[in-house]
Amino acid sequence: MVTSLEKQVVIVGGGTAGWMTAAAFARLLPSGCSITLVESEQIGTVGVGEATIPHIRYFNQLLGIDERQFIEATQATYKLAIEFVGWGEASSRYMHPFSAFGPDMGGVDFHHHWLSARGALPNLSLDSFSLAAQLARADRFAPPPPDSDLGYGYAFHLDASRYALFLRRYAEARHVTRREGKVSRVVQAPEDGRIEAVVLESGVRVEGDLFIDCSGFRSLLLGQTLGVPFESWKRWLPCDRAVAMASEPLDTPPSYTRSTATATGWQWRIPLQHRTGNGQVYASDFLGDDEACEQLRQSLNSHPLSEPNLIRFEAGCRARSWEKNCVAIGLSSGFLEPLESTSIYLIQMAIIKCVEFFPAARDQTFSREAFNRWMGLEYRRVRDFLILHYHLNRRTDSAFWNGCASMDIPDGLKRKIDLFRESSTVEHYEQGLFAQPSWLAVYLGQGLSPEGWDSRAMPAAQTTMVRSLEAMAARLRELARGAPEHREVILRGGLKREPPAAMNLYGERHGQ
Amino acid sequence: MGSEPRALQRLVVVGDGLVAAGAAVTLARLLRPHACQVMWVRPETGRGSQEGGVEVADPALGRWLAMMGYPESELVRACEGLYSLGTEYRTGAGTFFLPYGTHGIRPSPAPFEQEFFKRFQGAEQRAFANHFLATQAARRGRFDFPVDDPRSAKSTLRYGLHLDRAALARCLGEFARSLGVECLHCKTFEVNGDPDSGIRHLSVDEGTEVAGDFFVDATGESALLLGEALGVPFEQSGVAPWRYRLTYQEAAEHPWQPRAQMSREPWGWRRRAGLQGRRVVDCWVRDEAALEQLQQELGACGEAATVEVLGAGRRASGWAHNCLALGHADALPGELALSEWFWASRCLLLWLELLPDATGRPALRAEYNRRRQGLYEILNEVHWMHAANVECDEASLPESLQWRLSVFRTFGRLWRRDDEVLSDEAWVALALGLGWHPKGYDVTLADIGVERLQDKHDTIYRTLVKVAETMPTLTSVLKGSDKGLGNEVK
Ligand SMILES: Cc1cc2nc3c(=O)[nH]c(=O)nc-3n(C[C@H](O)[C@H](O)[C@H](O)COP(=O)(O)OP(=O)(O)OC[C@H]3O[C@@H](n4cnc5c(N)ncnc54)[C@H](O)[C@@H]3O)c2cc1C
Repeated sequence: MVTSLEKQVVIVGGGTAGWMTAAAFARLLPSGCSITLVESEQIGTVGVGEATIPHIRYFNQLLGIDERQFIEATQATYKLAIEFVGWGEASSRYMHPFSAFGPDMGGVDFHHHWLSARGALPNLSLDSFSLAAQLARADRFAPPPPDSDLGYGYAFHLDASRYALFLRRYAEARHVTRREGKVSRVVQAPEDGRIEAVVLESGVRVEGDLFIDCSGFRSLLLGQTLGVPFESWKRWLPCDRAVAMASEPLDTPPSYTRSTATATGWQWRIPLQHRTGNGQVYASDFLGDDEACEQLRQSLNSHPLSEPNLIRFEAGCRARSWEKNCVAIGLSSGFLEPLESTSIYLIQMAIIKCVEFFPAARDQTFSREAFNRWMGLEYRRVRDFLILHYHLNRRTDSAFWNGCASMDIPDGLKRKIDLFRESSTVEHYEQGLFAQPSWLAVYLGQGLSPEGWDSRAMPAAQTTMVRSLEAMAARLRELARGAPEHREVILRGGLKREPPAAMNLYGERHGQ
Repeated sequence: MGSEPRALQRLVVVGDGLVAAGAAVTLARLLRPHACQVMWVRPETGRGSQEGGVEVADPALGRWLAMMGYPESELVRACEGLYSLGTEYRTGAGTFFLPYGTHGIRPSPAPFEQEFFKRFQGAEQRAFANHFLATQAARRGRFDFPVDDPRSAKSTLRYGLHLDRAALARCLGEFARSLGVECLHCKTFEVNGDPDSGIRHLSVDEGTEVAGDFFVDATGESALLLGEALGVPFEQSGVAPWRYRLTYQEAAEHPWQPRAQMSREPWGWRRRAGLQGRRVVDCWVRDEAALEQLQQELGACGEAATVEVLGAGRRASGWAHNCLALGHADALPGELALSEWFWASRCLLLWLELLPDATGRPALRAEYNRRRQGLYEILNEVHWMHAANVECDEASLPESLQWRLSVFRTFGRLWRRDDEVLSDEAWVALALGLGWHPKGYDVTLADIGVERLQDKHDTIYRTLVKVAETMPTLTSVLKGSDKGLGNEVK
């Protein structure tokens, strides 16, 4: 068995996906495997991708990367939540924190109690019951407390190019060979179409047993060479353009990402130490590129540092991410807009599953099948959660949003929404991203008012319940106020001791 | 904004067995604080069918008892109970132990079981299950209760119970009454309801009308409420690995042993589960010819045996209108490894997790039925795992199980699903024991020498043996401790 693990792995592409893969493989694959990465400075990387979710900490810990070093190298700041502005009604505002909301009470999920009592609590929102959300609102940051009811996960805003460079150093120190050059030809085996080698413009031929396609939107190996079709989800996720622009760093960098809905899409603001990442995502049917650039420029909170970077895309993924002896990781396998910062997570998941199902034999049938099933599920989970944001909007200011509210949505998502609308129940699943807290944040944050909730949460003594919820929210506010300012923590180089990381959004609570 | 939910105010449980009793207790305990009354209609039909049987319960029963506030030690005393650390299997290929609890070894870097896939090829991989304290203790007839301290090996223990099923049903029945459940014994009853509008009321003994806003059908396979009155069809499985269950009694084992035993026989599977005063032997028998063979083998002892014809399949849904079916009234996923009560309690807790109100809640019902279907499939898979390569070839196993087994065999990985009924560790131990041996292992172990793993495993093994040897015997625990004071053994 072991000898068959000694493979020549060739990674094409040196963006975030390529170097994350190279670094992880260098750490996890047997020493008998040789790893070569081919990248082309001539082509460059997509140059965006700055917001992450807590799973990245698990990835870094798996690689043995020190969090403080990572923060310094990538000019990172902490991230506890995403704030959604204008996604319900134009004036609405809610947090999607990396935490649950409130503790279960009497065996009944907290949100039922909250729904039952909220008429008497006009000044408290669901966010009031998440310490992570409270910290974020107050521009503060602290490691999660040991009390699991208050627990949360945290992630980072990072400079993706620096992260790739950081991982490149890591990988090269562990015997990953980097080859500069543009792949001009892909050689396939005549008998079965398997990829045998990539040939660079210089004529150098790089042979391998397993090829990892990290070539970005081009999907050079999986799409162009092996012809795996792209499945478009544009009918549900109509945005197809982004323009990104850096501006000066903020004096008080928030510990959250902001996503602000506009008439034809949305804008992101991502605070880093050395700059602020800004971008506008929009549907080209509704907004021209020049207008988009101008809108973005107008909305900046600080002085611009770069020219706009225009990116075209289409939401969707390849029908299969693993075909023959080629695994696509990153943009080459699919793309879902960065509304919930999920792309780096999907890269990470693909790497982990590739290692888990690493082909020991020449026959890769089961590796392919297992990997494709898994990644297909991951993509669909994220897709549906993103569609939810668009579909539940309650804006009336444009044809774009009206169209999103009235569009047909995937059956599984419709079922989930109907269930919540009827009973305040979040459909249960354990595999794939986003569990109850995330669904709650968006359902309630965007103003979906359920018709009913758990009857056990009908307070016999409503005033007692109201008081206890008020006290709970006050305690969280107090805790948040007492926490250090996010800016201070960053200036000190990050937390002194990093808590253990899990493959989990909410700090060990509520599964994924 | 929604309106206040209309809470269920009166629940009616119908049935006379363990499932009905357990349901009455659960509903009373969890819903009476919310001003919900529980009425229990106990028809005479089917009474006594549980006499002589044993409930082999996994640790979920202990957790349920704690939730219900029923003192476990009292139950053990009243039901001739024994504590169990798992099941000892004897198959054509040797023996293995399927432990409750965990091994408690953190991944470093790969999950613990992967080390055995690296160290061994084939059946030797079963050594994995020897690295549980439960296994070592059970082999020595030792037992102890788990401790909270994660530094102690005893923190890895979990235990199940063997209980006289009829006594268990009686105890729970009495407990239900003590919780304020109103009990109505009757000879006959009629269900007033129809497939379009649900159940209106029951007419009991041709007179009394029992109304409620929700009904729990625990009337067994006849499913008098969900099936007969509401017309929810039973979807029979095309095939079932065992057509009969034959049950007989044996003398108690001395000293008592904290485990059940499963053995592969030419006619099917035999399970021996000890109680304090006797042992109950359940045989899952393939077909008529096999039944004859078994009966001949048993001779005189088999004359007192009871034989039950086993069905297989499920109702199209487990919850329709205002009626939830539990246990056999709902489905027959197969009970070789997990009992009817296990299935019923998982469904009931799921229903309570979702809990409808009096307005009906069709989407909630659909969610329940979706998850209950998944649960059925998982239980059914565990049942079928025991049939593979004897009663059926692998290609005839449920497709989802075939897939899981291929992933396991190829990579040594689990393909998890929602609402699993076995822990990862138990699934691995069972799959290994029943003959699926991974060819691959976690690649992070590739560079680690087998000797190093062997040293590590030897050290763990020695430690476990040492701890096991200092544990009390099951007999002394049952006779000595106030937690498990047992009956006098004759
Ligand atoms: C607008 C936008 C915003 C985003 N925001 C986020 C976010 O906030 N969070 C998040 O997680 N993700 C985000 N993403 C996604 C994220 O940017 C990508 O997942 C990530 O950068 C990985 O990209 P990649 O490595 O797959 O592709 P790229 O960065 O495009 O890298 C492709 C590599 O392939 C090489 N290459 C291509 N062709 C050849 C060739 N012929 N020969 C040799 N080399 C070649 C290139 O040189 C390059 O090195 C965002 C994406 C977009 C479009």
